Amino acid sequence: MQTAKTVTVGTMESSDIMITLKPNASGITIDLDSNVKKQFGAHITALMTEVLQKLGINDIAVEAVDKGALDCTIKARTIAAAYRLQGKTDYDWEALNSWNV
Amino acid sequence: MQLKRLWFDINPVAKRQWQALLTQAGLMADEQVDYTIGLYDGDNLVATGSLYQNIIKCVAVATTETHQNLLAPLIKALLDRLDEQQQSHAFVYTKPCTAPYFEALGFKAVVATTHVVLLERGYPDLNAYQLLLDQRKVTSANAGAIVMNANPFTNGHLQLIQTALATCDVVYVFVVSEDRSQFDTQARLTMVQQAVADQSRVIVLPTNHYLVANATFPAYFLKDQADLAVAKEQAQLDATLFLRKISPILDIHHRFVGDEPFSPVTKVYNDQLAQVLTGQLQLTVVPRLTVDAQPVSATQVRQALAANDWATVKQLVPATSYHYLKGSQPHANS
Repeated sequence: MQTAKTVTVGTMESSDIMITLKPNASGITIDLDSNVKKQFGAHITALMTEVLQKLGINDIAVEAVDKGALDCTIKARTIAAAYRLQGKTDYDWEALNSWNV
Repeated sequence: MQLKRLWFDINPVAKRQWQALLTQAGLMADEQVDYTIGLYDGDNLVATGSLYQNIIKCVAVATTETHQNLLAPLIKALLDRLDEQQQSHAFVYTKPCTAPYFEALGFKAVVATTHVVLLERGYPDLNAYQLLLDQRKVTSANAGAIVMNANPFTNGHLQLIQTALATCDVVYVFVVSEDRSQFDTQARLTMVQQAVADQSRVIVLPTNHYLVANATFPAYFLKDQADLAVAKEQAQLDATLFLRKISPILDIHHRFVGDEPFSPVTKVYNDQLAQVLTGQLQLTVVPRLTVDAQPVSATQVRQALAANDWATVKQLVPATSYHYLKGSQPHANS
């Protein structure tokens, strides 16, 4: 899906991740800034890509400022950002739970 | 730790604390701000930050509290405020030594000089602007560029464009996109577009926030009160941004500016531009057009408009601007 909007979720506190979604012509590009990028950069990027794809978002530029967030936080923040981008609040908990988040 | 908005008009105590904190941090207590917040530890103000439009400024954390990472909640609160106002793009203007703190919060450097770094966050960003420029790009062998406020567009501006056309095959005219002048951005863009409508070699472009803008060169809009030393820094930043981020995209070889006999700030700008561009881009200073031995300036036109002196206006502006100004007279006189 294409969108002209940008959304930002999360904070810059320790153990959190701040995710900004911006329009992108095609594909998912992730610009990650993290203090554990060397260790977990690839993992975090893959995780966010997976969540976005599951939510049907394939063309988006992601800007993430990670302060050592755990996987559950990264997933939750990505889901929240994706829903907010689409202006949806009717979270499909059953589907989300079924991914074993 | 408590986050509060500071209201200077009704709270003189907070204002004094704020000034003391900024002075301690080596910053000037610049009161040109729209919104200021402070972090309190009990009654003590320990950190502060302000917004002016979408520019984050006057950010300071007390030296005794620097171990707590107070910058993150402070900046987050300012970004949230911008978010509430549907403003998804923010600038920070800071010293090179503090730039890494902002980079760790997701800001990206736009341009840096030896004393100042301009960073941005959000969208539409410099990339988006460069993309826009690229789309409007015309193949050229020797392209020229002019940046103008055109407040309003005069015969002087027209002459500047014509002079540029005499040596360049394509001329990009950047019209300053900041609504701090008498005529708003759209009006100024329209006047320029109308004046060069018959010139296919002239491309009119907005500057968005990247040239002679609040972010890059705030002193330009405060010509009367601007500190010339500050203006010099800002002018250098602006010129560097033009050289590094804009001219390569459009393959610009030549920059033209009008000679400046009146405004010291514009003169500082021209001097800095000359210094930064030396050896990289050709800079031509075009002497002012004179009418009856009087140099033409937009200031004169505004004065004539205020006095309802249409005869003078007609002498100073091209026909297209004259019709435009006539049509928008109530606005022009406001």
